[in-house]
Amino acid sequence: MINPETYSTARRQSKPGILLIYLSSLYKLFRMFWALGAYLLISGPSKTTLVYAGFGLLVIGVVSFFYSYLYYRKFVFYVDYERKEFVLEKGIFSTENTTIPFDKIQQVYFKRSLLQRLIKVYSLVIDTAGSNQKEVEIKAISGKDANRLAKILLKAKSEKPDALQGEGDLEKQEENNEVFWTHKVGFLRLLKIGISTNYLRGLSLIFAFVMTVYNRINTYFKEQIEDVEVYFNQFSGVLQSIGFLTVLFVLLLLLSISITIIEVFVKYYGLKIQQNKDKIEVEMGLKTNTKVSLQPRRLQLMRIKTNPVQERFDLYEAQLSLSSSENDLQKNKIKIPGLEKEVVKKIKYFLYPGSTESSFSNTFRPNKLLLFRKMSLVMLPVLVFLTLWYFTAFITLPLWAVLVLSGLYIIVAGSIQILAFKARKLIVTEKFLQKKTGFWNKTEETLELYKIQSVSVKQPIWYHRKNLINVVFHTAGGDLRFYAVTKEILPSINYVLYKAEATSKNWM
Amino acid sequence: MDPLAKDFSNNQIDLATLPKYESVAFSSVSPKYLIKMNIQTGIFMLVLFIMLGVFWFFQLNPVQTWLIFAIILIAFIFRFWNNYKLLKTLGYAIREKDIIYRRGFIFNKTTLIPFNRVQHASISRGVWDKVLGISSLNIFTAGGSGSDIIIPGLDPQMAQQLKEAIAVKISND
Repeated sequence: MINPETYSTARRQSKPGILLIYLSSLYKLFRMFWALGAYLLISGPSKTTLVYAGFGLLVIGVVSFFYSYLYYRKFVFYVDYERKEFVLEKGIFSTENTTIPFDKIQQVYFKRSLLQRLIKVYSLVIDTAGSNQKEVEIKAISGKDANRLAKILLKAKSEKPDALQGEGDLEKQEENNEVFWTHKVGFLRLLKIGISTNYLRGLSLIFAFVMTVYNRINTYFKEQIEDVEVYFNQFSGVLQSIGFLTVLFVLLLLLSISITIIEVFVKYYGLKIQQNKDKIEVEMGLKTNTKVSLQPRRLQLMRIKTNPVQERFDLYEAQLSLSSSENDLQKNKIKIPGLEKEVVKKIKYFLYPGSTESSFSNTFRPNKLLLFRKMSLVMLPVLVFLTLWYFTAFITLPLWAVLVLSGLYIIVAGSIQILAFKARKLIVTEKFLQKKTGFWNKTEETLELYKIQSVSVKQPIWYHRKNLINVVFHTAGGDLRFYAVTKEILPSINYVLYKAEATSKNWM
Repeated sequence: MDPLAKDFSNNQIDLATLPKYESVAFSSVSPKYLIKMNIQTGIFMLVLFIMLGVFWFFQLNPVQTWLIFAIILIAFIFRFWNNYKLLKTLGYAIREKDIIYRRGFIFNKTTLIPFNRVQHASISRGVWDKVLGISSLNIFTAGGSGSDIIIPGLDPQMAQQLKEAIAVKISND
């Protein structure tokens, strides 16, 4: 067995590590300056320049070797058994000291690049939960050391009682495989999803079509044509070209729709949702079959999306952010389109039990300032359009057309913004946080209060007078933001924090 | 049954009686951090001025040069002033269950991290930190970069103590 006190004193990487650091820093330098070198060579340098350049390279080589050696010397790691953590210190000029408590270690594994293979060292990577920035990598460690260190860390990690319990849970779950309900998405539904998802692309194609035809006719009528015969000849020419255009656009439209349908089929073919006692399994995909199991424990944030068109077809899209320690390479977000309202309800009921019952419910709405900001953003295109029309010859439209176009745009965009603004709200209940947005594309985001990682409260200087704040709830599966809300929300923020701090449940 | 059920209670909570984060007293960071910010801003300004000088030497006429000079100068006077204001707003507070960090004058931002959500904490020291004798404390969560905090301008000993205190808090959970 391994002596438990090994690695309790500061250790460096294995000696060949210097070479690795040296080569990789040379490579970095090369990547930065190769263009300069290439330029020098192409410009036909004189002998003296070459000599100087060679000398410079030599100096750089020596200096970076010293740098690598120092870096190697300053790169130390050890295991602190008393505090139950792994410590890593590195950096010559600026020192970075990282500590990872044993119970935060998610995974320990090895990696090897070609170079590392050649000089017979390993990369030891220690993963902690969360984003990739926080993982620790020891780039040059001998095979023996790597194995021993990994064993120690994994052992230390599993000695934690709750980690053991977690594994027990997993085993139990595998025994229970009784299926509660199954939901399959058939061919016809997939077709519906395909047609209804990318209608925007179709709409923009139609718009482009109308614009081109209009331009054609416009330029035709502008030309002064005197001869009647020529006039008719030309006119039929225009008609022909319009006919041609129509065919082209119809083809494009069909192409666009079929591309979307194919995309949907490749991604979601054979979509099957199945609930067992303690998890929901989702399976889908034609080319790469994705299989994900949803457990309430792993779920961080749920988003339900729909729009009036899809609502008519009873199509709802669920986006789930999960955090999984087992599989960090896989994207943790999964998208399930085309669900019936009933199925969405069932999934919600399983993942968020008791989301409907609450002793209180506080609803917050944003201040008008937000509407003002969104309005001004939306009006920007009008401004650009008008300036282009007025100052350049880029757009050749008569005044009335410009007025009608921009007026229509302002009315439509403005009312969409107002409706969207009215639909925007944040609801805090006993256990959940829910944000509803969108007039056309309705989105509903829900998270369980204790799953938050932290809360940020922002106040730009121009919010002071109105006493407004922006709130961001950070979770491991993404942020939930709510802007321009009055300070009346503060008690609810304190409540959310209280929920996260008072819970004994782990967030994953 | 769930072992949690033993000490389970579900009393109603009065939102108004919960601890209020907005009324905590913040500790400010070392004024040396202002020096660090000003040094960095100053270096950046110098670089810009040198570049301007080079341009002036080659192709700009005096009017353009003075104009650009004035713009850069005003921008940097604003930045120095902003640095000063920023230092005044920088503050952190530690409660029993969480750490609060506030920063920013024009864009004020307060981040609250419960200790039971901290993944790990580390101390970093840049070149200027070493010269001035200060440290930064980095606290990471699983919530992505927006949710992490870096508290600059701490006394190195203080930073160490804080880090250890946090390590104790997170391993207690």
